[in-house]
Amino acid sequence: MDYFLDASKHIQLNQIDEESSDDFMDLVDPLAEPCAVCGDKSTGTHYGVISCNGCKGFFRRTVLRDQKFTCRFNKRCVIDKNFRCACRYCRFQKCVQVGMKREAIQFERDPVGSPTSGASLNGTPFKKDRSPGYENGNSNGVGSNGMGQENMRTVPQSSSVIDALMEMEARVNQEMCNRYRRSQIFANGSGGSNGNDTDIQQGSDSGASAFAPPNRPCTTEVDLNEISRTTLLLMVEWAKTINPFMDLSMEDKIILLKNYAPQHLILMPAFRSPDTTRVCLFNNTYMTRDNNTDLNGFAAFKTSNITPRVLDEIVWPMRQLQMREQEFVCLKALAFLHPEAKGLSNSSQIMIRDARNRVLKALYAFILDQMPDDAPTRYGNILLLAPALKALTQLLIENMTLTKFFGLAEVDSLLSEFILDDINDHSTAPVSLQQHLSSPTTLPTNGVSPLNPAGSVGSVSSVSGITPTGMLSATLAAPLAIHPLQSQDSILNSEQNNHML
Amino acid sequence: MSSGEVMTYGEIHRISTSSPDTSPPGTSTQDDTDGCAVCGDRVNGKRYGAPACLGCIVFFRRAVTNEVTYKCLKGGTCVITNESRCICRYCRLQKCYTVGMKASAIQRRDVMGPRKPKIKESIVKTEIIEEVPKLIMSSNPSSTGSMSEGPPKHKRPLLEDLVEVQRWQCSKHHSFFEAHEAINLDGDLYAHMHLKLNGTLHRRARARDVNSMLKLGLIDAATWGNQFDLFRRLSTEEKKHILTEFGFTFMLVDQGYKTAQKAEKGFWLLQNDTYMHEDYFLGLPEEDARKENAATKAKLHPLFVNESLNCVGYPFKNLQIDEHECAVLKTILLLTQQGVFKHCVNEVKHLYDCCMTELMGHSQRKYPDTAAERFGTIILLTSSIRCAINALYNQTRVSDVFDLMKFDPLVRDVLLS
Repeated sequence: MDYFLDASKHIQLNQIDEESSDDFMDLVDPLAEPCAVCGDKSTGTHYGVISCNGCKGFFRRTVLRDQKFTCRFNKRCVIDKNFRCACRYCRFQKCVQVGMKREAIQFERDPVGSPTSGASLNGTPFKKDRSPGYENGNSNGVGSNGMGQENMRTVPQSSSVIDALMEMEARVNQEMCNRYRRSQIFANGSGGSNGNDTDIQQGSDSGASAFAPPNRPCTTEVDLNEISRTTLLLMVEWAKTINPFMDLSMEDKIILLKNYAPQHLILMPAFRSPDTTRVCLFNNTYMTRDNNTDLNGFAAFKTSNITPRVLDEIVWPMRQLQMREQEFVCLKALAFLHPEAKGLSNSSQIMIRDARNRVLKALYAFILDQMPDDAPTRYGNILLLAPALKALTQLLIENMTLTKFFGLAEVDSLLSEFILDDINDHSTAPVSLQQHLSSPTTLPTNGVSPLNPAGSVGSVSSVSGITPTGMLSATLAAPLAIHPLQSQDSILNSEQNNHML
Repeated sequence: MSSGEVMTYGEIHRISTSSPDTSPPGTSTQDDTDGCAVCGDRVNGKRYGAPACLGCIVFFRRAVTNEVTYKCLKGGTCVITNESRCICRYCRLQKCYTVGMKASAIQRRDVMGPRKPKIKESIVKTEIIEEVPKLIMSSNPSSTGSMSEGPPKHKRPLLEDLVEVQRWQCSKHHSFFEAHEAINLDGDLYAHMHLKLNGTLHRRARARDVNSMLKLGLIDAATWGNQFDLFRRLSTEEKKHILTEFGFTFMLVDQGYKTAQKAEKGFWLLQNDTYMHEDYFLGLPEEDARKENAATKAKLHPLFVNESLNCVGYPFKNLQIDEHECAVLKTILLLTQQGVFKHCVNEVKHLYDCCMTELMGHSQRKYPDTAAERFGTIILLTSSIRCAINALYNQTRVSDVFDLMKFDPLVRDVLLS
């Protein structure tokens, strides 16, 4: 017994040099002993136990990979040469039982497989490369507010066309400021003492409130509906100043307005947004790229898939081009004057096409005057905002249709009339649109009252009248707005001038 | 250490060969000269407790895993040999058990099959999208030359190359339709109902023509895209994403150009000069008019024809658009899908600049007084074409959902997936 103990110690001490030790070979021959785990032919002493190559590798792999096995039977499987692979749990337990030592594994010398396969097994999860962010262009929304009348009047017609558009743009912005101020006072007044404090604070900034940087996210659906309603009503006033609009029939007017309304709702905030991170709205709120957390669930459905695309496809090209306001007002007019709108009569198409050609000529002359070398490229890139705008328009209409159909949110009735193309409501929509076309008659009259007091008196008297009287008053008011700006250019204006005389 | 291991293995081999009598007493060793314990074939291993060939090993595993029961029609005493092991599976399985195979030795990984099932990818789509020929060999040197050498006096402009590709594609249209056309009775009926439009005879379009026009639009769109490096560098999925819209675009521009040149009011011509009219029953044979889905088609058909005419056909006709302007429209509509070309913004911008500059030059040469208006009108046409694409896509999807038409597999894979 002592003899065997001494032999065992001798084996452990001379493990590294076992091949060259003649005394060791004379005492005990490990190759003659079977594997202590499975009884197969052993290949020497591995990890402290006489074992075969199979059990040696199995023990090493299990320890290095830190694998855990489960026995499907009663944890009493027979481990012999024929069945050692049947249950890995019992095999590993027997390895430990017969004395294999975990510490005997030399980790630096025993990698699992080749380095390549090891890397593939232990590699870090794949991470997508993020595309670099867009550059933030210079903000033109606040700087150019229609005050820059520095255009050289080389082409009188083009200058007058752009001047007319700029004039009406400034007027619409002014009206937006006024409405914004009134709505803020009303909203804050109903808020109690906190509202009063906010009202005092807002009062100091009332002068430039519409163009102050946005200070809070758009949080409620009421905000969205209010902005859309105000924007659409002012759009009608803006449309009346476009030259052939008042000469069209009522059906053609409605077709043009319905065709342009969703584009207007996208274009106006896009031009005011300084960068591609958020869309700035007119009541000094903004909508971010991931807007779902701010609005409630139903309103988020309406805007969640539109806002990122507006930022990528409309705002970013505008900032890249550093679009001026003159170019922006021309783009709006070109989007509005769409001769291919469905249902237009032939005479209206001809008139609208002529008006569009005038705006195109004016825009190109303006760009040619600003930068003569890159004029075709800049001209084409500005006009290429139109297909992206049309695609977003279709997406907006689709979203509003689904929202109204499934009752996810209350869609404003005015928005429905302007944007949704409901065939069933065809009989009622023209009536409401006619009312809206005539009811805001006081706005341009207020605008031109310093020039013509008699016109305002007539308008005031006609406000209390019936709808046909309102239409007539609107028809009379529009030439008053157009006359001082375009009286020297077109035959139509001359005819209007003669009519006034 | 490694050399020691090799020596050790050699010693084991020598011991086993020199002294077979010293095997462990508990192990039942069989000589390698013996064959499979079941059928006598060459031994593959002792996998389930008995030396067996690979065929018997797999047979045993499958029988146990699938828990099948076989029946012997000859009394259960069949002789299992290498040649006759497949004749009676009952007796083969019984002999597996007799010679010592154990069901408990079947490992779990043998039962579960391969860890990662192989996914078969369809090659048809890749072939059509990837293997489209590139026809402009001098396109890139032309662009580079025009950039570096200022005004392109000795280099061909990009627009001329594109117009040549366009002419080549148009010359192939009739042969493409004829290759996919089969003569049948309906063909005879349609052949007798020609209509005279502007002095030439035209046949009404059939379902087969619609399939061919969609397929041709896809192939031509892929060919057009492959003229540009930035399109060729995209992955197949990105190309499919672009072609979903651009295939329709290409088809509409080609048909709109032909309609503007040859058709009368209310007619829409396909690439092979067959017509569609807003009246669904014009030129329709009697037996087709009496089909049950004719009423549904009569509702959907005018929507497509009128939308295409209003958005593409009539504007092209009013402008008297030419092939240079068509080529520019196609290229611009290819590039306007910004999401896919995000990684090569500079190249997209450069291509835009080339198209705009050459189109303005072309407009100023042909229409010196109204160049700006014409240029702007053509660019704004992209909005109208996008409306037509939307209507056509809805029409195609409705036809597919309600089974009004059987679409080509390629069209179904790319456009309707």
